[in-house]
Amino acid sequence: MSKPATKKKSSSTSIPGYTHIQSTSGVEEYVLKTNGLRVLYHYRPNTEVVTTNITYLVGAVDETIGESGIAHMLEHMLFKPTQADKKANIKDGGAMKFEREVGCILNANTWKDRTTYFFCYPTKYLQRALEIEAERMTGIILNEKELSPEQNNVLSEFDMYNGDPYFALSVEMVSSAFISHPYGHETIGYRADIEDYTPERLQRFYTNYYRPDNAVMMVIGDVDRKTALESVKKQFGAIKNPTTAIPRHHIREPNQEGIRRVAIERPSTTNIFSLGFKHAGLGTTDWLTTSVMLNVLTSGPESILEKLLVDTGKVAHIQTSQEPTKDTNLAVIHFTLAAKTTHEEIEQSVRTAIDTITASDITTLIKKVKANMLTDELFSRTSSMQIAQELTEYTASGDWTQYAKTTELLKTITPKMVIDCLKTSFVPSNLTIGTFIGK
Amino acid sequence: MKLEITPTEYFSLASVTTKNTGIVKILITIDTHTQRTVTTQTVESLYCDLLLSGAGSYTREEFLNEVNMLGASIEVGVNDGKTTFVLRSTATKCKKLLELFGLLINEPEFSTKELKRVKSTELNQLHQAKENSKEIALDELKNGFYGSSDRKYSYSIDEQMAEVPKATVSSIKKHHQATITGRWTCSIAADQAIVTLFAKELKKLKRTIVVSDAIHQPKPPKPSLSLENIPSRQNIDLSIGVPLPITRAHPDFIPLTFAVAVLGKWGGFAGRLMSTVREKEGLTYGIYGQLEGFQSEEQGYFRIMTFFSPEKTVQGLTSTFREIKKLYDSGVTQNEVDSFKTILTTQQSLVNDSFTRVLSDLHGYHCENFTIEEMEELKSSLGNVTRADINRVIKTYLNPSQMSISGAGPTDKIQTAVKKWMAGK
Repeated sequence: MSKPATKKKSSSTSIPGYTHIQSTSGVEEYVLKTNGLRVLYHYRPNTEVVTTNITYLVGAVDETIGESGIAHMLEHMLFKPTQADKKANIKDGGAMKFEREVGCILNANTWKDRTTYFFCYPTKYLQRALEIEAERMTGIILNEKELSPEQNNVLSEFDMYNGDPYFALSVEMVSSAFISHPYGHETIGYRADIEDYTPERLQRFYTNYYRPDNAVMMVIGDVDRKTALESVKKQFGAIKNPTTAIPRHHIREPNQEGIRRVAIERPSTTNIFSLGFKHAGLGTTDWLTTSVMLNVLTSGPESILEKLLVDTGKVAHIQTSQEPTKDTNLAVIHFTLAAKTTHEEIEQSVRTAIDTITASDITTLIKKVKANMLTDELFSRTSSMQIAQELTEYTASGDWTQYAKTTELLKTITPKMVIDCLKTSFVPSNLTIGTFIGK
Repeated sequence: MKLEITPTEYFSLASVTTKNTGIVKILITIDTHTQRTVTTQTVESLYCDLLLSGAGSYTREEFLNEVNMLGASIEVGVNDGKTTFVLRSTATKCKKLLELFGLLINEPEFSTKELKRVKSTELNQLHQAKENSKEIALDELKNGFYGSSDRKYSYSIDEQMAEVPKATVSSIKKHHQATITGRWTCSIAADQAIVTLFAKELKKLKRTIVVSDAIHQPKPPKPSLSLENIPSRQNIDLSIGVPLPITRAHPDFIPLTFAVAVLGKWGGFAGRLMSTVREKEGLTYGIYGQLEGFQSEEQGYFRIMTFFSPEKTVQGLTSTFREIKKLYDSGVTQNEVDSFKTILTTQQSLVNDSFTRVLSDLHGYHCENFTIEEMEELKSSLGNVTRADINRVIKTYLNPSQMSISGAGPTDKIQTAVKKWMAGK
């Protein structure tokens, strides 16, 4: 009688061609051996829907003077025809053909540290989605004919944002807050730079940053691991990286020594006072503490500044922005003034209120803020697209596994930590103040 | 996920039953529209904030504290004469949230002190709204399509601001009475145990019904141009469209939905308007069209939403109307019919990616009194439309010469040029 062959029990995450790096909270990380493409996989059964989302680790932070917004411009161009379209004689080429073919949801967005592209579609179209995604990683045709109308679209987008007083003020504030660091310009760039793009400059940026070893492909949805990973390998496995290193700036922002102030005057009935302060990058306890602090100050009718200013009729509303970025960034609180209130009055009220907050003022409020943030987190992870979006931000900040840690981190935040955060955030040498004056 | 709709005498309950999601979302919509006046429009707006300003023995602060300690939320909004409550919580906190909701419904405070606060915040928000060119353009367009007593008519910001100080607690209470006695359309996404709990609570909460007649005042198409100058804006926000003499229940509604998708599919890049006016001509960042304002017994309208810079407005309008005319003159191609059948069917299936999207989708149909079977049939009928039907409805309803244009932004810069363009169109 022969001995039965000894079978080695294979790990479920062992997929040929890949190195499995880690798994947490149902998300698995792999690296494609041929070219270093990272893949995140997360299974969501019984929906028949998949989102594939590719994040390139390139954004506004990689732009140089005179080329602001080029990462965003390139994002637009990634929807244009490819060499594969040209070869196949496809009349209306480009990634949008996928929407016309199957009716998927598609879009893209650029931010400070990353550019991301996603498709959401029925599972049966997985191969096609990945095929299109792989084509445009290196195959976009960048010429004047394709660039010119899209440049106009981006200028149109710029005008849309620039017409918004909050955006216009934020642009001035970040450029003042950051003297050296590229976070000092908005992702869309300056109008003059957008007007000056050429296909050659875009091509250089494209070649430098659009490569497998600078990308993370996420496959989230109702598809099994083997199919997902083998499909990615089939479409991306043969793409090579350039031999050159990925260009990165290494910039240290000089210390700020006092309050910085900017002002915009425009014909308008709107008046805004904005308070900006620098805070740590995403994925750190400090970022989350800042988030709790901002909610305590401004989120909802129980928040300190809403009670002080909105309920008393001094301010029409308050809105905040705390962006998920890798490095230190500027969070901003915008106060839209009521008709008869002055900027000076609101500045005085806000800064005095913040300076005089004590731990006992906010202990109960912090409990409520955390409870709401935990519920929000549960609701924000109910679709594959939302999960992809969140994973994108953590990936771009340097550690996607933080996605799995926010609940536990949130629970560790104490009133003392929030008070300390208040103290350090609002010292003069950390502040940038903006005023929008309607004339 | 299991979908069900159970009508009762006083309310209708739709459920999306899931397993182990741990969270609950509830939507409750009540149609309270009878006759729009500047008073009713103002009261609706004040009601939303005032309702959450204390209930039972709780002051506003105490009530908000109770809700927030649960990590839950209750939101109230009124749109086109329909009040909608949105409740969200974790499954473990749902019971307590429903108790608080019950208090809100049965014992709202409506104090004079809180009304004073709410009036002040409302006036501030209306002041801000004076520069919301997108909404102003839309309101002006709709005001051309409906009489002033219709739910879709909007009184001017100045009229609303003059009315706010006149609002009384008694007018707010009257609106609340209409809210609690109107027919409730309720939809929930949760685990089975929570669905059962909610059904039980609803039976305790909702025991009366008073159905009132609603005034509906559609007007026939009368092409017009309306330009509201807001010099602080950089772009001209535009709403372009035409009122349609059909309701949601009309057999032409589905082929018309299809036609409008081919022209200006909302979201994405597949519609003709996006692929030409934006992609090929670079005239705008976004241009979409859709059917709006339809209900089972009320007529709606077709609308295109876009914006152009002042210097591109005439060119943008020319391109937009060229596309509408092309559709009107030549209809859709068979390729487009085949392609959009896939596109629209896929879009429907993508709702399944998220149970909260399934809930929103279901609630929309539920509010129009569709059963699950009717909803499924309606969705699948998009796959059965014929090119002949689509082209027939295009000819019947989408004549560009009948369309109105409403713009808001720095329109003083473009008035002369646009009027000249209109005259030559």
